[in-house]
Amino acid sequence: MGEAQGEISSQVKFSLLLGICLASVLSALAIGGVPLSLIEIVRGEASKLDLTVFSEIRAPRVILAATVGASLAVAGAVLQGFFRNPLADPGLIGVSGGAALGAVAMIVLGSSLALPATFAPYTMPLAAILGSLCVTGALYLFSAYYGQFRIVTVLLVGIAINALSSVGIGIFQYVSNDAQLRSLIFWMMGSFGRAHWVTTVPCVLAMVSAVLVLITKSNSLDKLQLGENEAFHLGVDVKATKRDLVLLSAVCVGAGVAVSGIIGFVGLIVPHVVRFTIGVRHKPLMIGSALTGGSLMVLADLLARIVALPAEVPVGLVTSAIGAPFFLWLITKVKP
Amino acid sequence: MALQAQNVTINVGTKTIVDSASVTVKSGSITVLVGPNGAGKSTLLGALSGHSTPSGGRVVIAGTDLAQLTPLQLCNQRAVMLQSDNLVFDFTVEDVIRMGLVWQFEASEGEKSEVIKDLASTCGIEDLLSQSILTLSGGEKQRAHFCRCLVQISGSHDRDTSKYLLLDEPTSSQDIANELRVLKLLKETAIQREIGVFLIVHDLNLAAHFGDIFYIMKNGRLVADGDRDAVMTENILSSVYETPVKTELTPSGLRIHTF
Repeated sequence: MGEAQGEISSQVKFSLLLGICLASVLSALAIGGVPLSLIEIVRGEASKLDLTVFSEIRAPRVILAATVGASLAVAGAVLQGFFRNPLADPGLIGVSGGAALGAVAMIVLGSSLALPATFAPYTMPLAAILGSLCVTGALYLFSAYYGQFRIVTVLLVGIAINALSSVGIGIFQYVSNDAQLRSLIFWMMGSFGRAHWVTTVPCVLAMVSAVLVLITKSNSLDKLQLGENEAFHLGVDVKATKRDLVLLSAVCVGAGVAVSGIIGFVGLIVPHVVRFTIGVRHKPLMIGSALTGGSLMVLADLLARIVALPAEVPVGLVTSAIGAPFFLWLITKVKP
Repeated sequence: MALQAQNVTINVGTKTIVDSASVTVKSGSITVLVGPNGAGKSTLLGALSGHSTPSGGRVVIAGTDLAQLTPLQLCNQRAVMLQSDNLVFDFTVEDVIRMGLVWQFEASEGEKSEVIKDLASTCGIEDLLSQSILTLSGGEKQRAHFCRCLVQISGSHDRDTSKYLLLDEPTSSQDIANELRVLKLLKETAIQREIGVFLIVHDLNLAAHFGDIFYIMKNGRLVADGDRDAVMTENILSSVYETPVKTELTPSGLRIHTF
């Protein structure tokens, strides 16, 4: 009886989340500098200008925001589970910084690689993924060598890694030309203002597939919570699972950073809210985090677009404004 | 059918932790391993469970070398209870016990819930199922993990594969009543379900009472093995623990004291 009730209430919760996600996407599509009527667009009655704004500017931007939000939130949930550390966030522990460094290196040095122009939409995401992979890989080796991290150690290592990647980005800033510099500043702030289909599609596909594969690992991630030995005794191929988690969470963060820069705290807040409302098992946690992260990011971006019309606020500012106080509150709860 | 360590040697760095140990865990009986702290008991259990690969010798389960089995194949033949407590997130007791549902055959949700309820009540934790495991006492947590291991080897449809349960001090946090409950349950499980139990325990009286076959380990070597009367003697125990030990055969069983 209790089991059946639990099933029903979690179905209700997921439907509600899905509803919120759809509502956020639809309102973000309609609201903006140029208000659009979605009904007119569906009926084919919209003006040519409206149609162009919708299909070339608004739609890629909203889809990108939703995917990046979902992807960062799932990466946060996975990293927290992987390190058994409630304070792990891709931004705080340096994974986003590593991705940004990779992307910036590609912006500045990429032109000297003389690659064909058709590769352009792929080289930067790949560089960003490689950058975040270096960080997740290094954190993993650190923890494998020194044993299980204490909660606060991961954050301290994150500070060091973030400082290192700032140094790298600073050096690239120094040697970059004007056009490159404008691109660089965009990384520091985090924004969906540069969403075009050609750059968006490959990254969205990468993030969506990484999230879907991560969800299939949820059972193993649950068992890893008992400890690595215990997970092995329960049938988990620990080495392969850890390798997959490190790789896939790097794809989630790297591909997101490549198209939108560093957007902090989403990966921290969302999994906690979902644990609190839906549960800690990783399957519902990841699905719930994807839906919640997507909604949150779409709404944060909507706010960033309209709060100072005709100007635009970086969306990273909005998420940090919500996330930083939450982080402080979390510290008092976790007591690292 | 048996789980066997054959001349297993385990080196860590340049140090030999287990030196050419041979152990047989038979289905339907309790094999007890005792010995002083640091003797290498847990390391030997690690080899029997397939977690650590021996530097020399091999471990076979029903004739197959453990090294040839995947983690998934292994988890259907044996469950392992270690002394550990790593959870940081609010999993419920039921969530944790359900992690033991690794059965390789189709079972309905009702069937699974039934098994979990039954085993939880025999472990005395049926009222805690919906609680967060982080709120439990050490003894209750330990029984929740014990219950998870029982669930793991309780697939009722595949009785043909013999199953093993390896436990490292499963009663270290239990009060005297629950200590007895856990060990009685182990005895019952071994006999009724034909399960081979390998048990590391420090309390020599409990070991003598519940064990069928005994091994004594010291400094990485097995120094004695056999049935109770051959192994649990004053001479052997006194020399292994380097402490005078007295044994006394009473109508209710063997009594072992140090003072």
